[in-house]
Amino acid sequence: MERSLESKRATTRVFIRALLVIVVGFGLTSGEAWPLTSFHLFSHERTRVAREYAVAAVGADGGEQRIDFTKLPPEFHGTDREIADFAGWSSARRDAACDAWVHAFNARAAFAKIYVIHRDLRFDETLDVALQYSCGHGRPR
Amino acid sequence: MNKEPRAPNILRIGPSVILHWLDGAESERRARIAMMLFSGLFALRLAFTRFAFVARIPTALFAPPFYLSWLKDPPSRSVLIALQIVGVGAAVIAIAVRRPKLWFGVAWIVYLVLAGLRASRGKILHPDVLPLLASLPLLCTPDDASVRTSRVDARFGIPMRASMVIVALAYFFSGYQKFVTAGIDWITSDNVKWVLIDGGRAAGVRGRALGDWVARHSFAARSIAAGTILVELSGLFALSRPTRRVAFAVAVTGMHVGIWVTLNLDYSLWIATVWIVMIDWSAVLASFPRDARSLKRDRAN
Repeated sequence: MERSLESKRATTRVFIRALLVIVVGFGLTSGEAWPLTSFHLFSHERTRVAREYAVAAVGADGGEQRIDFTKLPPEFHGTDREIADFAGWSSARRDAACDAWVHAFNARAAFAKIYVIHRDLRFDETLDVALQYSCGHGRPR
Repeated sequence: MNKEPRAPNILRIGPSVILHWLDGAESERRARIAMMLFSGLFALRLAFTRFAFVARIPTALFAPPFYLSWLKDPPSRSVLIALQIVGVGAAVIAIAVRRPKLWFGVAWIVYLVLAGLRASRGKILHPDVLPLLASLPLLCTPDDASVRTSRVDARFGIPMRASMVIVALAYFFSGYQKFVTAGIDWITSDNVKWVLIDGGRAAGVRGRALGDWVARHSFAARSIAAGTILVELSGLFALSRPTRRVAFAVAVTGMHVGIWVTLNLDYSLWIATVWIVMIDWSAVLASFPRDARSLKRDRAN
């Protein structure tokens, strides 16, 4: 009985120490494997110039409308963060992702353009806009 | 009365001190109450959070966490709702039964799966991280832990204290990463001012007015930055005394309420976790005469 209790306590100790080593390991590095995280919460220093992605839905006539992701259905909220991973995606997956966004925004839109925008936070003013990707199956090839 | 082994000291903090402190004893009542409170938190989170929309995430945008990476598409709406029902049921049973470990484990796994699926949209979602990680050690609490008796033993202390250490580490690393990534500039530059101006667009009218006021006053913005880092790094030092843990819980609550008002970011799950883990609720309950009498009677029986 005493021995069994002691063995249970030893197992608990090993499990908990392993868990703490993992939490500390992620905390000391920049590793992310949700729910294990390095706790980067507002850790990057902000300056007066903010960099952000903007996704525009392009219609058949070439007209562009910026997509506000907060106004799309909840399954799309936050998915614009995936643009940061676009470089590692296949062109087919990028096209599928952009099709999903533009069609959720406007069923008649043909494809998407993704811009990198630099904004001056002092005056809420756009400093420069650069096209990063054209994607979606309707894009000109 | 809990006999605390040599507590982590502000000048002697280190892995060996923390590991020694981890082996200390806590009352079984405290550990069981923490499990009940976490079960309640799981039940509320699973019952009142929308998960069904996950079924509609397009395949190309579905980016599940590593333990669900075998899923090529999101689960169907009926599977998600069934999981919610199982999770809430298990959490409620874990509160009610005498041997809650199995049910607590089921509720924890369901919460891990559903929260992970909700976080499968590219953005790292931190709100569920702390309750999931901090409650995990409590799965090692002996199944005979009862709220009616007050045995004090390391068997109950190790999981309970590990939960406290995980909470403290989460805040410590939040502060540590700010220093590693941005250095002292995180405090001395206009960093917080720009965070408030940029993030304040999501806040309500009053929150935005408050954020704008802070942003206009550099001293206030820098003081808030310094205070944030101080509170986050103090997590480990707060472990040593119950009064410091209460002060830590109050300070992080103030910090998260400020973030919620000015940036509209909801960290209520972190607040709840801190209060569940850092406060000795068995001691709080025992301070009520009725509870003390009932404990005495149960001990006599």
